[in-house]
Amino acid sequence: MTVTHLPAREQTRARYPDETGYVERERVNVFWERYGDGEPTILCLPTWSIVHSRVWKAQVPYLARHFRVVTFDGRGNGRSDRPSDPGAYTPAEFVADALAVMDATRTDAAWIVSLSMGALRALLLGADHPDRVQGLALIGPAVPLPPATARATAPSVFEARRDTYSGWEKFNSHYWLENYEDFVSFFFSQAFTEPHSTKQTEDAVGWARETDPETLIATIRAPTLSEDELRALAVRIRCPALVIHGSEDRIRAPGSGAALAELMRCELVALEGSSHCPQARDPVRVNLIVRDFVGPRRARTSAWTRARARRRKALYVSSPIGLGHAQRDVAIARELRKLHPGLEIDWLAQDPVTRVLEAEGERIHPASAELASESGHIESESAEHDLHCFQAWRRMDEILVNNFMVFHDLVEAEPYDLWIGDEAWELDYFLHENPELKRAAYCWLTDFVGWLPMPDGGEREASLTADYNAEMVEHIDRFPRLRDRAIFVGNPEDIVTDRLGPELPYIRDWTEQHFDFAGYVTGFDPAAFADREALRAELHYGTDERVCIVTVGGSGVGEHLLRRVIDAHPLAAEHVPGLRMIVVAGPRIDPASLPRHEGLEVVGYVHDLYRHLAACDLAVVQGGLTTAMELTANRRPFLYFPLGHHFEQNFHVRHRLERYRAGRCMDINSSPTDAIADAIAEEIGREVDCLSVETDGARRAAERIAEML
Amino acid sequence: MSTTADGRKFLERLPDWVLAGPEPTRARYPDHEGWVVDEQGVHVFYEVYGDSSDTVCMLPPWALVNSRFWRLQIPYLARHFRVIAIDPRGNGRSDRPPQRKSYSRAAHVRDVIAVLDVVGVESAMMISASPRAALLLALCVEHPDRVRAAVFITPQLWIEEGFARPFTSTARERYEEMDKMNPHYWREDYLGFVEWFARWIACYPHSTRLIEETVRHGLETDAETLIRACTTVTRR
Repeated sequence: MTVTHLPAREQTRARYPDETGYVERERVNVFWERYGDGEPTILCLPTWSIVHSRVWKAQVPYLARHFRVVTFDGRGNGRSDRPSDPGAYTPAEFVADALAVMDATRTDAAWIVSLSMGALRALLLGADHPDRVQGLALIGPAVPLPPATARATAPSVFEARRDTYSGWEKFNSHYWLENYEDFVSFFFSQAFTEPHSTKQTEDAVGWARETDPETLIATIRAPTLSEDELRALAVRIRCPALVIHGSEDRIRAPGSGAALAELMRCELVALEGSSHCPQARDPVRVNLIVRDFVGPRRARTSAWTRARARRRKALYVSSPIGLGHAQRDVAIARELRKLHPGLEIDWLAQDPVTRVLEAEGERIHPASAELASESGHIESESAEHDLHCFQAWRRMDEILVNNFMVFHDLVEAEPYDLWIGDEAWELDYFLHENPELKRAAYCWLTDFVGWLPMPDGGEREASLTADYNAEMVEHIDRFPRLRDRAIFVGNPEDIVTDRLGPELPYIRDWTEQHFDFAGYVTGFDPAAFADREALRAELHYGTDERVCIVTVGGSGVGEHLLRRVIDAHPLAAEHVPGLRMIVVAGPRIDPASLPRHEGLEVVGYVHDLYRHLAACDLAVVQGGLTTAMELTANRRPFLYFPLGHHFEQNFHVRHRLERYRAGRCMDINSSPTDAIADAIAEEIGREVDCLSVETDGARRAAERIAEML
Repeated sequence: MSTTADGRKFLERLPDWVLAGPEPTRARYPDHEGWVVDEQGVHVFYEVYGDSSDTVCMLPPWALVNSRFWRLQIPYLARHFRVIAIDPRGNGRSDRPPQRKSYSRAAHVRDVIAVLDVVGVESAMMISASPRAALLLALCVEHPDRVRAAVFITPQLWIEEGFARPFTSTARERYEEMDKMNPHYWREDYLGFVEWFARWIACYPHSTRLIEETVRHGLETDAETLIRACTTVTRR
């Protein structure tokens, strides 16, 4: 796979280290990180220096909630030095680094987790420093035991110059100097053989770019252990040990890992169908294996309730990206309680959704505090009125693993009758990847289906979105009963006309086959606002005022739009007598950071904003579905500016709004200030002739969900 | 055996084969069974399931029931451990000696140790139910090297006055609810007591099989034996 569009900077982590530092040995600096303060300590060893300690990104946040975790960048990559002498890369040097890091982090002894080439270092530690090692978990161990793979034998012709290099011939010092990039692509195509591994491969290629061929050549030239030495070493291991090996590992043969387990007389966990890096591709399973291996046995359930004595209980996982879902989820929860009085609902949610839930008096499960912020990540990925939503979501993979593990631990400890996931991607994805973890009825809700490429993403993005869609189609096809219900928040006509990808079904056909349709869920009844005059009076809007509300919902991405509309305010005020513009900064933008004008109001979070939107004469919003549909339901005129590169706002939402004949779509980049002011003047107070929005969506959704309780 | 109105009603509802028929088919039969015999010649019956090196010993329950009390645990545990089950003195295939002193706690302690010895078990995880908590405590204290772990299910140490009082009360005109724990009542209406007790411990709805099974066990002994077997309670 050729990789382009590599991230220029590290993506948001799910958890940041509590302490970092360097150890220096013989003028080589090695960078380490420590996470958490639990007991015992897990030391995640570096593998081959083609990558660095971020290979553990899917493990660290989870393990650090249970244990203390120390990682370090192996010399040759990451923030560690890159000595040029091969002698600096012997297993013994890495062992000495590990001991120095343990000393620096005041770690007397640790459980060692290794990947691939880390195994030799782990074995040396375990055999020569038994007092510092409590146990060894070796993933895909790269040890000189038969059977050998092409990778294992490659070093024998590492220095042989050839005219052309194909396949594993690319494991060659000359080729690396000539075409490092191609070698790296080839290597990771062999390391990740599972379909749909684009993100894991991109990550690894990115880390490989942080070092250089000269350094990696030195690592291969470093003396290492012979088979006899390895055998002598392995039988000296006395601590608990575990070998984890993928059956499809092309880098190191699973038979070799099995042979090592036999020498150590320890357990072998065979991961059928996994390749060389299960910690990245099957992170949930690897996390649980390591937890169970290291863990002091978890406290047994101290109480258990007979099934018959239990009250009905649901866990609602509401997507935290923006505020949109919160209101509709609360509405569905309310309807569910009507159908099942006494139903208890816990929410696994984070800011800003929790603000709505708190205001509604809902019970937020304390485990919510363990969730890594998805909104924060999305904001960090956004530019001025631009959010490459698909890439931002892909780059949230570490957070999604972390948040799934939070969910997992919660439902492992507490039985629920039902899980409801409103665009809870981590839940839906990792349940399909680990279907045995399903232990309750499960309902999936969404208002769009299908990742769509932005035109300027070219073929690369089109193939990526199709790959993600294909994985979803395969998931549903293979485990059709995993989602007990799948509810589309909308109607079949709301679905775009695209395909999920070349050779893949049309989105509408596929969605109609696999979803129930609840109609749109506004979370309120527009009939309640039929008397607009009364509502305006209640909200203190004068009869002669022309109220324009500017809002970007709950996201922090909208500041640029707010500023552009504020800029247009003076001109708009000239065109519109009595204009009263209210800018709602939302929960994640500081109102004080916005400019003020005469006659302009800037406020922070407004509870029940939808009531104000129902009363206004015009709204100016982003292209998010919820706010736009609230305005549509109340027949209000509005301008909407889809975020740049946000496929959902540009395609899915726009398609739906055009069907409803609601709103005027504007492009922020091609709309100068006077055009915005003109549009405000033209649209404010206009009679709107749009389709009606159903008012029974929450009830319909709840009825389908209630069948499972 | 007296047959009060209550008892007859119960019997009428239960077909004969439930109470008197052959034992229902077991999920697993013992690999070995036998008796240990004490110095007075009292035989105590035990069963051994499986041959794991790790042993779980299901202690004899009180004499109203027998080792079949553990029938829902044994087949499962025996797939993971060697399981020993012991009939209490006074029920199942153990003897029903006529002297009270034969039912002392010390005698039960000796039975358990004798079974471990004859099976060749150094130490075992021991599981007790209800009043046998005291037996297990005694084993823990007197034979710490033979008890690898101790599990107390619903321990009943006779410290609840309301529960223990009826055991030592005098005869009454009528026996309501907990009054039925009175040995005088057992003599008067043993079947009535057994039925009440079976229903009382199986207080959840839909527990008919558990009630039947408890009554079956109860009918394998009699009022006088049970009274003797409760010596440790009535003469504490």
